[in-house]
Amino acid sequence: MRHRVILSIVPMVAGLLALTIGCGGGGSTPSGLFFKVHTTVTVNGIVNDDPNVNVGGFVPLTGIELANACSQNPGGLTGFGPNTTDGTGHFTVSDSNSGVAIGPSCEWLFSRGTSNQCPVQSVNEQHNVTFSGMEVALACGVTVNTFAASPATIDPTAPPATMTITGHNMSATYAMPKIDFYDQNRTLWLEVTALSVSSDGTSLVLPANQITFADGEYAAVVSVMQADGTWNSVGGADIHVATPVSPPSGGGGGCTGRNCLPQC
Amino acid sequence: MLERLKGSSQTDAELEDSQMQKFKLSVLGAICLSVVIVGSFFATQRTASASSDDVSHRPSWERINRAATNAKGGDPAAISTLADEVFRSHGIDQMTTTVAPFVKGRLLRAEADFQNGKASGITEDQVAATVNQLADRVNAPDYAHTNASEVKKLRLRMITLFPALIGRGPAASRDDSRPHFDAKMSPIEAFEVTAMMIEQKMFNPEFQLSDKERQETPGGQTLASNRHGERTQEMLNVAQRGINLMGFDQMQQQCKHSLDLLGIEGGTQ
Repeated sequence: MRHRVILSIVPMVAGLLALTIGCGGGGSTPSGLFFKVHTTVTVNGIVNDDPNVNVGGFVPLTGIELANACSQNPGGLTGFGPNTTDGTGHFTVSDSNSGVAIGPSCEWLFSRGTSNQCPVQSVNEQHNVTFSGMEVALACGVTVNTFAASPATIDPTAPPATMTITGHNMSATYAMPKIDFYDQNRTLWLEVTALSVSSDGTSLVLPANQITFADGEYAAVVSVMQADGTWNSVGGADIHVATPVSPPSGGGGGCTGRNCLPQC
Repeated sequence: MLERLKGSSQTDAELEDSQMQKFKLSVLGAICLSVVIVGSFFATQRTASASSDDVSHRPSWERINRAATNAKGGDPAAISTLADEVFRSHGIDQMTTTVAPFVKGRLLRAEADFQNGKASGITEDQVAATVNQLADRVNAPDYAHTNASEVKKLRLRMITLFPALIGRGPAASRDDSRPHFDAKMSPIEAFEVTAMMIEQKMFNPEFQLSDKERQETPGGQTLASNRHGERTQEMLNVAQRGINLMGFDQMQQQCKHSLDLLGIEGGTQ
């Protein structure tokens, strides 16, 4: 019994020692321990700050488990929110009296709300907060595309007759929109005129049978004519051109694993 | 004001936040250490203004693209607004105008020269060199470095998000009646591409690849060892450590050096 008591006290003492001898990072006091959350969203394959998002979090541990996992400051704040991230997607979690719970395996569960840019919320996303000043990145649970092509992947040996791009501001008021296809080296591969545009400008259909490009990533940039006759690019969609891999020749018939072993 | 802020009792959180601001600004070749001291002050203001300004609730790419559309004729006021939107999207708008206005002036003069055909523009190699110099400066890992090919990949993605900013060429010779994606960047475009590359190196697993890893994963897939944001955390730690080692003079030199490497010079005006 006495051993059990001692064993249960050891981690707590160790935690207190760690605090008193300044293992908290730069000699911070417990009240100075903090961390930050940073909300981001991936749009068209690029990570951006996601500002003004509701965030919250808590440590799902108590008692000795909390003392062990969050040994750097087990008495610190173990929950916050909902709070709103700032204009660059940051929110600092701190407590002027006790700091925040931090430790080598201090598991926090974070949630983030939707935003103008991120249509889904994330609930109970786990991150360990291991040191003061740590930044926890809370990414939007889905990637977002301002414009999207369908199909987005094209077989250049058998391209579809048409492709649909969804987006916004694709107006046909003064002329049918143009779509330009560029590769990574900025080479223009194709320019086509839309076949049709929805009345609200959120989708258009274009001929796709000329998408017989080399395999790779392309950008399909949509431009609309303005009242003064000039063209204005309003957005673009990622296009992936990929030739399907041919089955191995030589009569194997695409067999795999045990089926490929010589038959007796 | 600086003295007053120096004398105020900032919390550890505010000071650490200032360190990150310092890093971001040096990364962008923007401003210098004085920003650190007032960083948290402005961070507070930024939050307050964000909640009362409807425009700030629009996605940053929408604001930038709109500003770029308005600036395509080369109008100085519209170009100034575009620069403001770029600064704002990276959280350095108020600091660049209040603490270090020379940065914006330098950028606008260089942009004017480019748009008027007096300067030739900035290459993808220059962007890569700027990012790499900073990565070396803070002893960042291999995957924090980049090359012209990766900058091209980023620009291809950015043209779908900022079609009015990326690859537009100078107003003096631009012909929007024909499709074009210019190799050379305007100073504001180069600034934005550099900033975006830094952000991808910090947060986007697809761009957190070394040269060797890029060759081995041509599709840019996330490495198994980076599925839970391990490299993001490492980059944040590296940035913080690197900045902690820089003094005021070093920070100023770094800022100027980044702008020089990018080719954002003072202009002819």
